Amino acid sequence: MTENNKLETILIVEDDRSVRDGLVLNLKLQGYRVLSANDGDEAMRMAFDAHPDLIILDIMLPGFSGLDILSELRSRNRIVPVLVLSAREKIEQKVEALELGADDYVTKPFELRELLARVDALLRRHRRFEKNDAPIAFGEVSIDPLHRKVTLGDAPVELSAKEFDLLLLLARAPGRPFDRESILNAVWGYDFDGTTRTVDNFVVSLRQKIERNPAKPKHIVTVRQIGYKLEP
Amino acid sequence: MDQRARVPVHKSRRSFSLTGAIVATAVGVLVPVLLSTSVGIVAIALGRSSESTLFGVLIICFTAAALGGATVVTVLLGRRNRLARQQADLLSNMTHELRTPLTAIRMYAQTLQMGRLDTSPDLIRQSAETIVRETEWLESSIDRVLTWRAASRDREVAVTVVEPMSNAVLGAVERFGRMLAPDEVTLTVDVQSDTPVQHDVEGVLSLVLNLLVNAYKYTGNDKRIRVALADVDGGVELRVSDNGIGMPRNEVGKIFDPFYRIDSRLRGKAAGAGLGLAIVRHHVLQHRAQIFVESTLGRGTDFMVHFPGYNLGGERQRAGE
Repeated sequence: MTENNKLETILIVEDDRSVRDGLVLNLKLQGYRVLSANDGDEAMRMAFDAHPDLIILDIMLPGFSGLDILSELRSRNRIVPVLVLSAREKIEQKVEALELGADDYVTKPFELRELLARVDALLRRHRRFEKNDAPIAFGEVSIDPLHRKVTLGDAPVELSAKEFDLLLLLARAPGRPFDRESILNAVWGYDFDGTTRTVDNFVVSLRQKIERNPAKPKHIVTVRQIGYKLEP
Repeated sequence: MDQRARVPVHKSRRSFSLTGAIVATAVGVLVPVLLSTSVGIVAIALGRSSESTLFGVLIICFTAAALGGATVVTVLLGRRNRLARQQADLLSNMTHELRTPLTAIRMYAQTLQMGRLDTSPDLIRQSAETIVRETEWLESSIDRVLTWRAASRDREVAVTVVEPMSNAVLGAVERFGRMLAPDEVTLTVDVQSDTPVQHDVEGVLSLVLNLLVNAYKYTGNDKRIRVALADVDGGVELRVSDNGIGMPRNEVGKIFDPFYRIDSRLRGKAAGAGLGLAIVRHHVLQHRAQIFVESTLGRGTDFMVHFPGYNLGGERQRAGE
């Protein structure tokens, strides 16, 4: 038994009885609460109604396929981690599942220890992610990372995607100075071709939207010769 | 949807892309042939000399010969491509079919190896039973390929006996039972036949086992399968019934084709390489029997095989006639 699973629920979707029973047995031994479905229709219902913390999903199923279930989950903004467990081993089949929103892909036959470790890792990451989704508030500003919404006082603030990412980056580490290069890499990525001027332009724009007095900013503060930080 | 389809099955049908064939024929063959033949006809009709007539006849003969040659090449190439595709599909499907039992065997073996069940003798025993059961599935998949290979090359050695078919049928039921978890299938066996039939015991065992495995694959959670053997009109009728997904009427004629597999939305990954029912048909033909299918979509399927009885005068009798 591991110490970090607080009876999290795993949904196993698998139509072969022996494989399904073996997975149920092993994940219960691991300390998880386990539900199982043996066809696509039952799986689709349980994926939404049972609120599992992780889904182990086979692709070829009677009724809805695993890919149908995956795309339905993602189109309805369900962020539950999905580990696809399938005998389909071609690169394009793996890519298709990952592009549809799978978080991991393991081919059959698999190594049991590796599968259990991947399940633990996905849940660990998900826990951190869920924590990171907690709303952040400073001054009159509130950020809802899950729905990517920002309000100033009671009024919603319209931010572009990059403005939001920039604000979230600073707000998640209040008081910590970020140099322009790090901001550029974190928000625009390493492949971005722009200059650190881009960061300054976005900071100006962001200040105009969330500061009461953009000329004398209270929250997004310049750190001389370094970059910017967020003061709560 | 709920019609019962009763279709006698005798010979194979092949599926191909009709639209593609029509377009290819029109563009590649018909147009040049029509043009060339028209030139010949015009030369014959309008020509005033015997040379023109001869030229026209030669053009038409050349067109006919070219058309014949092209047809032969197309048929041979198509056949080769189809065989290559079928071989690739077979390999891919077989690999897939072997992976499922292999996955279960490895998982249970590793569970035992990691000592996760050391405190529970019951779970150790159940895991070992699952491993043994899955090896039975592996063996049946391998047997299917070997039987198909022998059958398709006419290298099968059939040793026939003249006796009631009960032993062969019960042998298949016993082997099928070894592949099942306790309570996995409600299996009803009703074997009441005294009529001697000239048959190959191994062949009939394979026929019945393949029908049983087919029934297993196409039934849902509540699997109910019935095997019956009864004397009818001087012959014997074998009947394997299930409460499975059934099939639409248009599928019934195709299911005995080698490599044919029913729509994946209906079956999931259950079906394997598409050889089971092709092997059944092979054994049916080998025994000069007849097979019939009754199926209702969503309700289940009955396969009936009529074997001719064997009378003491050495004459086979045709069942159901």
